[in-house]
Amino acid sequence: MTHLRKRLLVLYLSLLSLAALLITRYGMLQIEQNVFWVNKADRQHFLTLQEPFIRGTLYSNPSLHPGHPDQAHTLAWDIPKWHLCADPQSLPQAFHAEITQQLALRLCLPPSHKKHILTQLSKTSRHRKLVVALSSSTKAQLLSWWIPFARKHHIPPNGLFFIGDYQRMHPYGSLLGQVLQTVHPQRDETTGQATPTGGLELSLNRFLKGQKGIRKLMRSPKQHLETHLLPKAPKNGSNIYLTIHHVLQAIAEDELEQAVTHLKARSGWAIMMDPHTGAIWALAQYPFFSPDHYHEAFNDPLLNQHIAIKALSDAHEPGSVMKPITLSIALMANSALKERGEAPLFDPAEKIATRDGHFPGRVPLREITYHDYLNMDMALQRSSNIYMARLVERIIQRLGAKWYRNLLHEVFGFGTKTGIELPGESKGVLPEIGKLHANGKMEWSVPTPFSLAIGHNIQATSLQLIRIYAMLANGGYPVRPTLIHSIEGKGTNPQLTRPPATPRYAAIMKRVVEAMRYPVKRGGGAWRGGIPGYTTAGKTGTAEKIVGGAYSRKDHVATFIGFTPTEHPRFVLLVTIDGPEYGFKDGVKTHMAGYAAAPVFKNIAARTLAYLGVPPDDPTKTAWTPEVRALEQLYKEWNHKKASKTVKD
Amino acid sequence: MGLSLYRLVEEQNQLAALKMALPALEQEVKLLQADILSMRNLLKGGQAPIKLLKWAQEPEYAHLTYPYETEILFIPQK
Repeated sequence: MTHLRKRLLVLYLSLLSLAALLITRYGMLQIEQNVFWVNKADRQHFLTLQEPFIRGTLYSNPSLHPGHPDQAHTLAWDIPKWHLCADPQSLPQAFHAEITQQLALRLCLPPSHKKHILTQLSKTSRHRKLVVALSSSTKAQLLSWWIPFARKHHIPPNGLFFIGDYQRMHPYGSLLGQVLQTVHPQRDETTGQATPTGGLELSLNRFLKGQKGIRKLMRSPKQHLETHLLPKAPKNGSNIYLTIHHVLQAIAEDELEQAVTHLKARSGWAIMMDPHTGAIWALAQYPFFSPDHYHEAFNDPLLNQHIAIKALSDAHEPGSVMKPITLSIALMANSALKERGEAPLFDPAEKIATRDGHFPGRVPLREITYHDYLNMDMALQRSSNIYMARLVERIIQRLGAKWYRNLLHEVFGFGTKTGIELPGESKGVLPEIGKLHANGKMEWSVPTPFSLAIGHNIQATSLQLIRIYAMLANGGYPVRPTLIHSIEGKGTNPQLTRPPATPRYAAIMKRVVEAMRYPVKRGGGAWRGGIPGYTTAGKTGTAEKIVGGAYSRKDHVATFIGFTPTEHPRFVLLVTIDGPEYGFKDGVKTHMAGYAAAPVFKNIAARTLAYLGVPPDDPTKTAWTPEVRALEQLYKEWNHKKASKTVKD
Repeated sequence: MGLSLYRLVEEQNQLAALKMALPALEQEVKLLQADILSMRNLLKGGQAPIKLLKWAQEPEYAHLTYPYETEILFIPQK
């Protein structure tokens, strides 16, 4: 081979090798590393942003009036807001102070926040959050200053940028505040989820929360171009319709505020419930809690104690509101003994001696006013402790303590949670037979039933009590208190639509309700709770609070529970005033439920009946007048007394 | 033919100008929508039931009453 040919061969082989190298490299880039380079190009040309989701909205009851679906009102919803962020590495240090000063001036920031911004700008980072939850108008104002400032000083305009987000807002302020609660303003960076502070936001979080999406934008020197590409669409939370009606809630809150202020009480709460379905129409508490300013309440020890929903977290001794339940149990004992073929426990018309308050194992029971003889109606009208304890004494003798406790627990639900859709519910305390206290004494001893009969030695929440009174109102079937009307995508709460259960104790409840008419009429201690023009059944209860392990003579819980009209009750209403001012006014004890709680019940109920358009069923205010007079006459005969001076018409 | 080409290029230029203006308009629309929601929130606050109830107690509204259920005629929807 000639020298030339050798050179040509070498050249040819070199070129071939080079070509092979290029082809191999081409194959590696385009085939093997294809995904890598496509992604890199994608990152260079496009950017992805988190697309925030909208948390589910909480609405009020949309269908309170039969045949008139109301427009559901927004109680809590997400409003678009912007967070101001900075890219500290693109902001020259020389301008940090001026930028901070301008931001503080335009946003009226306190000195502590100004210091926080300066600290953030000094970080070695490409993304720091400076100010959260700004409105769109504030954003526009800031941009109108920043863009010219950045241009003038040759600072990259995206040194300060905004991230869109949502803020939880409550258009009605503190309405239903404790029940709704709120979420922390800053969402989790990774998941985009909000952190609830409590209440329904916490217990219904699994329905309210959503999933963030991903949005694609094309990079551009001046501003990013929208591609309308949503590789992952955000999934918004489900909207929830509550059973709470905004107008009835406002009525209850208005009356509570006036009453607690007037009585100089510590707090007060009210629950209004449909006795046939368990739907809660109002759950009010004063002092109020404003979810939009939750941090003020959380950091103030005085306001902090009013954040919990006391109607379900605070268990206290019910006092005399227990007495209709004691009568119900006594009548159930009659039925049980009849089934056994034995003589009944008692006759409601029976004349029972009530002068002697001695019962085994305890100090003598006392009365506000002593009576010689009472029957069932008189005993409830005058709230006799001794009468109730005598009935329970017979129950224990003939049916036993277990039977009695079983009824309190299984039928009336003492010592069990109601299952309402709120966190922090207390189950109360019902003494257990054979169980020891921490101090080694038996929970259930010989005198225990006599205390239970009058609502002592037992602790119950207001929710448990209203559930029981709903049974009295609906004829004897249990209902579960509920706050949920419907959830989008899941349908209406079946509890609200299914036909009512068959009442088990219809006759017994009817008889007890007949007796409950008397306390709100002439001669009864709850006459201030009677609603003009409407028949009402109810009972007051005043319990001494336990302070430092002993009953306090000056600290009380005053409760009134009732329903109206008595024949076809539209709602059951409970009002509790915690710590009304102890004293006398116009010869009346101002801390007693008949003075403190009964008028609040009347005011709330009267306004509610008017709003619902319920026509008066006692327009002449003469319902049961003959029965009340007859009872008064019989009382005088049995007790050789004139009409009671403790009650005025 | 030259005129047609010119028209084509002109149309493409106009389309490009619109495409470039769209992002700014989109931002403006988003800002307006957010403003509307914020204002709606404020309006709802002004119509809070507690405020309406207090106004209803004013003497000038004393003539307004809720109708009784028996006075309302229900017409079933077809």
